Amino acid sequence: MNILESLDELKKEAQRQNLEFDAIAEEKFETGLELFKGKVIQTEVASSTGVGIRVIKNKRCGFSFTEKLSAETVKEMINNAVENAQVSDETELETASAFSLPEKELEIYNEELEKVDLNYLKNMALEIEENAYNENSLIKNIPHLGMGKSFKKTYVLNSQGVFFEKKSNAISGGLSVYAEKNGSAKSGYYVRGGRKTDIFIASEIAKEAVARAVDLLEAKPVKSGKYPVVFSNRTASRLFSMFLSSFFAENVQKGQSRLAGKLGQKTAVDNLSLISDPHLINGAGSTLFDDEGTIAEKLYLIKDGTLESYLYNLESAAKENRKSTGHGKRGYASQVSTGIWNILLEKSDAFIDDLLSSKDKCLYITELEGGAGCSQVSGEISIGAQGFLIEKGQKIRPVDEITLSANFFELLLNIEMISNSYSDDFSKVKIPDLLVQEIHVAG
Amino acid sequence: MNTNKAQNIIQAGLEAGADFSEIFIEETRSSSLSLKDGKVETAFSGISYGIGIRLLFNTEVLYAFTSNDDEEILISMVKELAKSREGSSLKTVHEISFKEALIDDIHLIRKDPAKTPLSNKLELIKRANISARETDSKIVQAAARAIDSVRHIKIFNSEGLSVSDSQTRCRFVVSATAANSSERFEASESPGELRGFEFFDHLNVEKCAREAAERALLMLDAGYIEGKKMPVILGNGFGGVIFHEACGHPLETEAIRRSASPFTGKLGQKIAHESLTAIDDGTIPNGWGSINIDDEGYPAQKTILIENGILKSYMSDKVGAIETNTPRTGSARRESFRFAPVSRMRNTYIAAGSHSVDNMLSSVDFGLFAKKMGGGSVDPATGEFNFAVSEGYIVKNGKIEKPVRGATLIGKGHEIMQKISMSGDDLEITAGTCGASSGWVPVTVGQPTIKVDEILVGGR
Repeated sequence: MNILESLDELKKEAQRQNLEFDAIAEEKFETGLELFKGKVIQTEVASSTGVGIRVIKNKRCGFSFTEKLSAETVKEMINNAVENAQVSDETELETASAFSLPEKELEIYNEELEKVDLNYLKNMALEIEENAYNENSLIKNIPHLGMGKSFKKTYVLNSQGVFFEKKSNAISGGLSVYAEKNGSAKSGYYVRGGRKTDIFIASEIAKEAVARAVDLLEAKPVKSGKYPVVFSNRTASRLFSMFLSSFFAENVQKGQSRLAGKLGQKTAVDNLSLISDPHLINGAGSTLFDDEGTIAEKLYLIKDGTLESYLYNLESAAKENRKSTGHGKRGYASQVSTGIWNILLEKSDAFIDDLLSSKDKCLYITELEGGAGCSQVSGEISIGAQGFLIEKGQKIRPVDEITLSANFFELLLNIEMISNSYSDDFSKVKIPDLLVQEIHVAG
Repeated sequence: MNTNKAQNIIQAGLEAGADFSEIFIEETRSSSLSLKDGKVETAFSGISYGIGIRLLFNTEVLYAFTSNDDEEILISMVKELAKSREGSSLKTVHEISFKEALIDDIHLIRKDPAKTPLSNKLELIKRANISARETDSKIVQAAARAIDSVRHIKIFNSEGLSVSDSQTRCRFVVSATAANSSERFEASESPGELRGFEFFDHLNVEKCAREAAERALLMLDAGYIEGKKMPVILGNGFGGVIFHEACGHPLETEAIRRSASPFTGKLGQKIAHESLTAIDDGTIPNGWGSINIDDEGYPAQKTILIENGILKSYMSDKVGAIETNTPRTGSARRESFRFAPVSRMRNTYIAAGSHSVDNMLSSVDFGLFAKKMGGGSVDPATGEFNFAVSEGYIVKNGKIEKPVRGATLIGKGHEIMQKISMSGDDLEITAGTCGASSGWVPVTVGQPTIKVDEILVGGR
C-alpha cells in the first residue's frame, strides 16, 4: 500500500468511526556516502514512509503512528489512538479549518538536484578530501567526510477537509579534519548544505574545515574573570537555538519559561528584533502551513527590544482562546509540539571587525561545546568554549579550555553590538555576530 | 519475512559481488503516556517497521533501508546499491541455507507492557505528579512520563545466520521545576530497565519524584563556584558519564579504525591510573543497556576494557573487528533499521575500588563534589570533553559545604584518566541514552564515587 492509498484508508476508517482527527504523513528518500582515505567506506540508499494521527474524541486527544502501511495497520493505528484518547484529559482544541494556501513560491524544491547521484557525490567528496590535505600539512587525518541528498514529501490533512502537500529537497556535504602541531590537537568541522549544486565548491568547503582546526592549534585558556565576548554568527545561532523554546506559549503556560508575563515589556536591548519568517525564499525551514494545517505567517517575537508574541500551536492557542500562530510541529512518529520554521535576528550595519575592535580586550568565541550545562527553563548557560583572545581588534592567540557562565535572559539585555552578517549554515536559526558586554569566564 | 524471500535477497547481494550480505528486520511497538501541568498531556503509541539491507565488500559498507517489504523492491534496492559501486562484478553463488541460532535469553520479561491497561500507567504518572508537588510549595511544575517499547528483530546473513530476539524496555521520567520570584530551576530522574511492566511495579515513583523536586529546590537556592582547576569528587552512578564520553567513545572500533582516537594502537599499554578498571558489559540481567544479541546477531558479552590501568580491549562490530584486527565483542548496535550497525557501548562502568566517600572527601582541601552529573559530549579525535554538573557542592577542608549550580567540567579524556586516583566501594549504574552515528541507543553508565585530582570547573 502506498502513502496516498493509506491516507484514503485512514480517511475512510475515521469517517466510519465518525472521528475528528488531523494527520501527517511523510515520504522520504535519501542517498549518501562517507569517504575515508580516498575510498568510499559507506554508501546509503533509503526510502521511508510513515503516517501519524491525532484523534479527538469526547474532547480528548490520542496519538498513534505506523510505518507499516496496510489496511490492517492503519485501522490498528486509529484504534490505538482512540484508546489513547480515553485516558487523556479534556482539551478545548479543535482541528484547523480548511483555507486556500497563498500563491507563493518558496523555492524549497529544486529539480536540478534530481540529477545529483552517488557518483557525483563521490567525486565531490574525493575533491574535498584532496583539497583539505593539500590545504595544510598540519592536517593529519580526516576521520569524517560525508555527502548526501534528501527528498521529502509531507502531507497534512484533517477531518475538516484540510489536505495540503509540500515537497522539499536538499544536499549537504561536510567534513571533520584533525590537525596536530607540537602535541596540540584540534578538530575542525564544517558542513555546507543547500538546494543548489553550486554550493559544492570543494576548495571552499575544505578550506573552512581546515581553518577551524588549524587556527585553534596551541590554544590556551585565559585567566578567569569577566570579559566582553563576541559570539561568532555561528555560535550566536547555536546559543539562541538552545533557548527558543522559552518563546513557546505551551512552556509559558506551564511555568517553564522566564518570558512568562513579559509580553509588551522590554526583554532585550532596544535595537534587537527577533522574527519568525516561514516564508523566507529557499529558507531551511520555509513553509506555507504548519504540521497541524494552520497557515504559517511572519511575526515578530521581539521588536525593538520589546517582547511582542509567543509561538502558538492549536492546543496552546485554544487555552487562551486565540488563534494559532502556525507553529504546530510534529513528525508522524511524534506528538504535536511547538516548533520553529525560520527564526532571524535582524542584522545591523556593523561589520564583525567593528565588533571585535570596539573593546581594548575581548574574547571572540567561534566554538561552543555541548549544551548539557544550559537550561531552557532557568536560562542558565554554563558551557565550554573556544575561540580567540582579541586586543584592539587584533587576534592575539587562540583560546580553549574555558567555560562561559551567564544567563540567556540577562544576556539579551547586555548585547552591545549586532553585526551585518549571518553564517552560511543551512539552518533555521539565523543570528548575526553579537558583542555581549560582559561574561564570566573560567579558565 | 520467510526464509525463501530472505534467501533471494541475500543471494542478490552476493551475486552483485558482495562478500557479505545481511537483512535486518525490525518491528517495534512503543507507547508513552505523559502528564504535565496536572493533566495527561500526551497518550501516544506507534508501530515502527522497516528492513535494513547491508552489503559488505571487504569492509566497505553499502546500506539500504525501507519500510516496504515487497521482495521486488528489496532486490531492486540491493542492485541499486551494488551499481553505485565501481568495480563490482557479478558472481555466481551457491544457495544459502540458514541455520536458526538459538539464543540464550538471560533477561526475564514477565509482563508484556502492550497487554497492560493504560490505566495502570496513568496511576503511576499521577502519583509522581502528586509526590513532586507535595515536596514544597516552591515546586511550580511537575511532569511525568511512562514509556515502554517492545522491539522484535530478525537477522539473516550470508554466513547462514538466522536469528531473532525481542527486547522489552520500560522507562520512567519525572521532572520538577522549582521557582522563586526571579528564577526557576528544573531537575529530573529517569530510571529504566530491559524489563517488562514489572519494572513499574517495583519502582518507587514517589521517591523518584521527590528526589527530582528536592534537587530542583536545592539548585534554586544554590550559589556559584569560582571557576578554576581543582580536585573533583564525582558521585556514583551517572557520574560514569564522564568515562562514557571521555574514554568509552574513543574505545569503539568506529573511532579506532579512523585513527580518530587518542587510544589508537595502545592495546596492552598503560592508559589510565593503575587504580582504574573499566568494563563494558552487555550481559547484566535486565540492564537498560543489555542485549542478548547485538544488532548483527552476535552474542553479547562482558568486555574488560581497562584492567588496572592497562588497555585490554576495544568494543567492536564486524567491520571494526576486521579493520582493527581484534576480536568481535558483540557491540554492534543501531537505533533502528534506519542505521547500519557500528560499535557502541552497552552497560559501561568503572569497577568498584576500596575507598569510602569520607576517605576521598578528607583528601580534598578545596574542590567540588559533583554528586549528580548531567549530560556531556566529547570530540573523540582530540579527547576534548565537557559535562554539566546537575547537583554539586563545594568541598572545604574535607567537608561538604554549600550547594553550587551551573558548574561545567571540561578537559581531555586521556589526560583525566591518568588523574583518577581513588575509586569508592559504592558502584552503581544508571540508565541513559547515547547518540552517535548509528542513532540513539539505550546504555547505562556507572561508577563508584571517584576522585579526580584535577579538572577545570567552570563557574563564576
